[in-house]
Amino acid sequence: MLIEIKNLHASVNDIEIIKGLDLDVAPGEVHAIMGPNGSGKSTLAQALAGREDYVVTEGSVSYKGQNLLDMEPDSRARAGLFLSFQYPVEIPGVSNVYLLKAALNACRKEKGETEIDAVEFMRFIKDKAKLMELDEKFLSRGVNEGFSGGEKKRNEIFQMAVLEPDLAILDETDSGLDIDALKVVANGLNAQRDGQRSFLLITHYQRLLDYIEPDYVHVLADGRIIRSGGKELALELEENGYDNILAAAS
Amino acid sequence: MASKQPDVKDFVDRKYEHGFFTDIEADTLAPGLNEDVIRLISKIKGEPAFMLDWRLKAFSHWQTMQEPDWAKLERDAIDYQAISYYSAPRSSADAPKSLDEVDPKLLETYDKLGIPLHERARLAGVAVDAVFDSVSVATTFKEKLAEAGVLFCSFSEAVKDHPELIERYLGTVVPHRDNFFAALNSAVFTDGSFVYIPKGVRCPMELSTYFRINAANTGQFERTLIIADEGSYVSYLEGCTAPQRDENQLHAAVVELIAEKDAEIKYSTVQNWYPGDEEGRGGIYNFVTKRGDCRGDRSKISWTQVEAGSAITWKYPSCVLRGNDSVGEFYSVAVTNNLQQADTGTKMIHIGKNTRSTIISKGISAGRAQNAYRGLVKIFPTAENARNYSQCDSLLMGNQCGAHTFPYMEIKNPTAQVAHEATTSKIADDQLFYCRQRGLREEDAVNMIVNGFCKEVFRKLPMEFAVEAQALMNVSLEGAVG
Amino acid sequence: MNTATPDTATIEVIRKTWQERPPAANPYLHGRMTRALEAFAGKGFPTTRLENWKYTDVRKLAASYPEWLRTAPDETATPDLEPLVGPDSVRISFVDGIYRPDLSTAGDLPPGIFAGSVSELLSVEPALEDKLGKLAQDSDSAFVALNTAFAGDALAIVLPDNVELQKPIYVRFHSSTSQLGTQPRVMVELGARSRATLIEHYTSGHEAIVNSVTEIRCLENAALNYYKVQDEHTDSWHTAAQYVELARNAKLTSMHLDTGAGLARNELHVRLAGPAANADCKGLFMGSNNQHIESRINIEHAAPETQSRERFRGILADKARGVFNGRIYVEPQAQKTAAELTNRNLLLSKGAEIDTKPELEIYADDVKCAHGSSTGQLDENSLFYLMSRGIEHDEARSILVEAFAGELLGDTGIEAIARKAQQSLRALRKVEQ
Repeated sequence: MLIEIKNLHASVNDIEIIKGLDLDVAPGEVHAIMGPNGSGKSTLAQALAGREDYVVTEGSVSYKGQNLLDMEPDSRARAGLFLSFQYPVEIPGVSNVYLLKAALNACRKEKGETEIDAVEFMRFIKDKAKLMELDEKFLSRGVNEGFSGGEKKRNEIFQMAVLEPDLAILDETDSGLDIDALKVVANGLNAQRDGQRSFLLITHYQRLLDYIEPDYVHVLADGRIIRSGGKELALELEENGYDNILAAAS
Repeated sequence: MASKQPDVKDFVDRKYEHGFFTDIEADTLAPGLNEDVIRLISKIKGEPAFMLDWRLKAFSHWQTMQEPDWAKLERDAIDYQAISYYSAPRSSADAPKSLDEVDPKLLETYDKLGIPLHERARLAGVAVDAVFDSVSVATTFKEKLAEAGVLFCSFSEAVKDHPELIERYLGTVVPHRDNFFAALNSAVFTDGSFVYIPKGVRCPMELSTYFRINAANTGQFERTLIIADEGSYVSYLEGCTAPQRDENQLHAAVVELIAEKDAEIKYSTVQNWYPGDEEGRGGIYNFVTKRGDCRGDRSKISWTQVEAGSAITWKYPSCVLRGNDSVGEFYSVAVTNNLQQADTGTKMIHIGKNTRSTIISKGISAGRAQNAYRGLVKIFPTAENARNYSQCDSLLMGNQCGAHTFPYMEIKNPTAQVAHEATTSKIADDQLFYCRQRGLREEDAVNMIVNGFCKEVFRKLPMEFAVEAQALMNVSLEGAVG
Repeated sequence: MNTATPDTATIEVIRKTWQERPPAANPYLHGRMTRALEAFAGKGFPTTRLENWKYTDVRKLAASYPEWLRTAPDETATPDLEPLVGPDSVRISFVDGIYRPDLSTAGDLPPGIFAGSVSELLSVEPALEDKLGKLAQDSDSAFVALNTAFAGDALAIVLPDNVELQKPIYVRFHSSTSQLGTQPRVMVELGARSRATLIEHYTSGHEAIVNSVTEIRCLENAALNYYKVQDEHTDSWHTAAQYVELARNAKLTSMHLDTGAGLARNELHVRLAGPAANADCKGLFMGSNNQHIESRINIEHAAPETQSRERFRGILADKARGVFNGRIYVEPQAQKTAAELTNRNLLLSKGAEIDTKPELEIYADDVKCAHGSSTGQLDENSLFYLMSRGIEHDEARSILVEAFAGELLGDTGIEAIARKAQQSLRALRKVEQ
């Protein structure tokens, strides 16, 4: 297993949001986690990435055989865990390229590799930018500074393409995207499915799954996974809505 | 979670990289200040009579003045009689003609400071007029500048070779009675730089001076005078580092800029003098008067400063916008850590019509430091359609420091538009988390965000200075986040 | 001091005037007044060398002070005091510094409200001895000391816990005698969870000196709506200071309207002393002719999670001079403070002037503080737009000036005060044209 989550409980401001969640993801698998608003989807993503305000009170998370919960947020990132943020923050004055180069070199240093040279790096990211149909001018602009909602999301997937993580958690990456942008994001994502890389797609709507076919779909409600199934479960949700599934489960 | 709050205390542990003391025999005047000392300085410098008169006038006025106390600074009293007002490296009596003649120990000092004079100056196309203590010891690229008709030399040389220019311009921007420290400087200054750019000349290279303070008990009183004649352009760079020392050293420099019609002066500073240790022992007291006079129509003066050193910084580079359509700019980054105190800002005095000014100030405070922006925007009744925009942002790192903003706006013309904005906050948690999620260690993430915060100012610096400034920033805040 | 300061003589005359007055019967009060007089004598009138008085010169005021303090009030004056707010309020009137039951709706005074002499007040409410002068310190300000030293009649509003006053309390301070100096004093304490609305309205029929001090304490969860309207004779001198302290969760909403007096200076000091205390302060000052109007606000965040918002606007015509000073001060323990101050000024004529200084002084790191200030004339594009719709130039200007003030007056709460402001704006316009 790449990641094994056992009986996870997590709180925000002393209010328990995740209430005993179990989930295993093997290398190369794509899992979709769906659920209504307030079910704990984003809390799960933030807790796995190590956000300070999301306090794990019980349970364990093993990532590549290590105790993930013991790791600093940046160690998790360097160990190949990537979070595509639902609301990517703006960092004025820090260019996209600068952040990415520093991030990439931090990862390489961790692995004992040498730092990437500037020319090679530029070639590398320009290819990736093309993949995401991201205008090169975005590279030199401040991180997410003045980006539209769609541009921010594309920028997240672009960063993922550059950092080549082992486990990518995509928190509502589809929200706020129009259909064309959604396709671009999905293409970028699909291009990174190589049979080894794993994905955790967190989404409210089935729409994204039209373009990215998951291996498993889980329904999250009130901090627990109440149903798991194949990709057909997403279609069932789309047809019947959450209420029916929640009712059936209770 | 595994993550913990940045431990700011750790961040404060930063050692002064340029801290050492060069053992050089200095030709030093006994401490104390009186008319005889001033006569002696003037005599050593071989100055014409008008200079001595001017110094004595300044001195007699200074004696009637009180130290200003309005800045937000707490410090020990300065004993002006305990300071030696003249010190020259031994070899100064017979000034070196080339680098080969320079005392090797001096060159060694520059090497330690990372300023290989001969190498880097050439590579960067920068002419360096290095001031060691109070006397110039080396000047390069003079010939190339001479071809363009640019005068760039030490102040002493200028007094000897171009007394008419000195007599005409000295003290016309910062009069000898301007303020306590300017008056003191006028009385006792020993050297500095002089630049004259003739009409219509674009200075072929960036001019740079590195100031140093070295000998014990030696106050440093620099005087810089830059004149950009009609339609000319010059970019002047000034960088400072100082050896580590235990006692407070006083520095009271004066810089005067004059921009005639259609002329432009860009003045950049990176200041990294010894800030004192973690307990606030030692460190330079830096009281500087910098003022630019946009005398001619359409002239422009732009100040860019990165203030990272000194125990006390008291500095308000200003622009007097006299000419119609003249432009003043002030871009500043001030970093204070440990027990450093900075009270710095600018004055934009709008007198001419359609004058415009921009103020961008970024203050970063860590440790137990206090960092204040103090600025004045004054619009005279004559300044039709004057425009000013000011933005002052402060970043706090740790809960024992302070950040303060004191903008004064005095507006006496209804057609003026003056806007000021200021913010104070700490580094946002979500920015820090975002960077760490991309794999950056906390300290690197902080450095990156802080550098981003300062970007607007850094990009106004000449390229090689911008890189230095960025590095300096990281060193200055080293250890402030664990 | 071995050198005589310029106003030593003035101070001596003021001291003599004080000594000639019958001493206060209450020994505590007498001691307090004596100390206050000495505090004043020690300071003297402020000069422009003091940072806080940089833009306001009170030398002429100081010169008139001794004489005007000696002017006898007219105890029988029956000025026509048209109230600013309607009959649906509790009215309390002071004429020439003297409480006038006949001009007040005293019968309606709810329990907890007292108007009358300070000594009587202290005998009715001895507990006030400890509170009077605690927020407004005689040692901090020469004008506060003067006020305490010459304390006459005062107003005290002390509401116990859980009282909600439905009717606003409307307090009128009117000077009817020419060249008279008065020292109005107000003290307010709202008990926990109590609510009230207080309006202070200052007017004068002739030139006068008014130097008022108001102390307001809001206990936990109390809420006060405070208004101050200053509309005195344009040859008057008006100095005023309000000191407000807010306990946990207490809230102050305030509006200052300064349009009168030849020289007016108002200081509002708010100390957010308890966690989650909240202040929302607005002010509009306007001047014409040679008026000099200063508006100051000083907000001290002294507890965690406190919030404040300050919005002040100035409109200056003719040769009027406006001075604004806004200070946000955050103490080290006041983490998670949020504070925002804006000051906007309109200069309508050549010769008008504004001196403004919004300050931040911050000693806590986890804060979000901001201030902004802008000064300009009416927007030419807006003016042109209105004129292109057929509106005459002067009318278009008026509309824009009213809009500028209107943005601030929008949610004033008391309609009459917004109306009063609009009235003053129209008067300003007339002068301007």
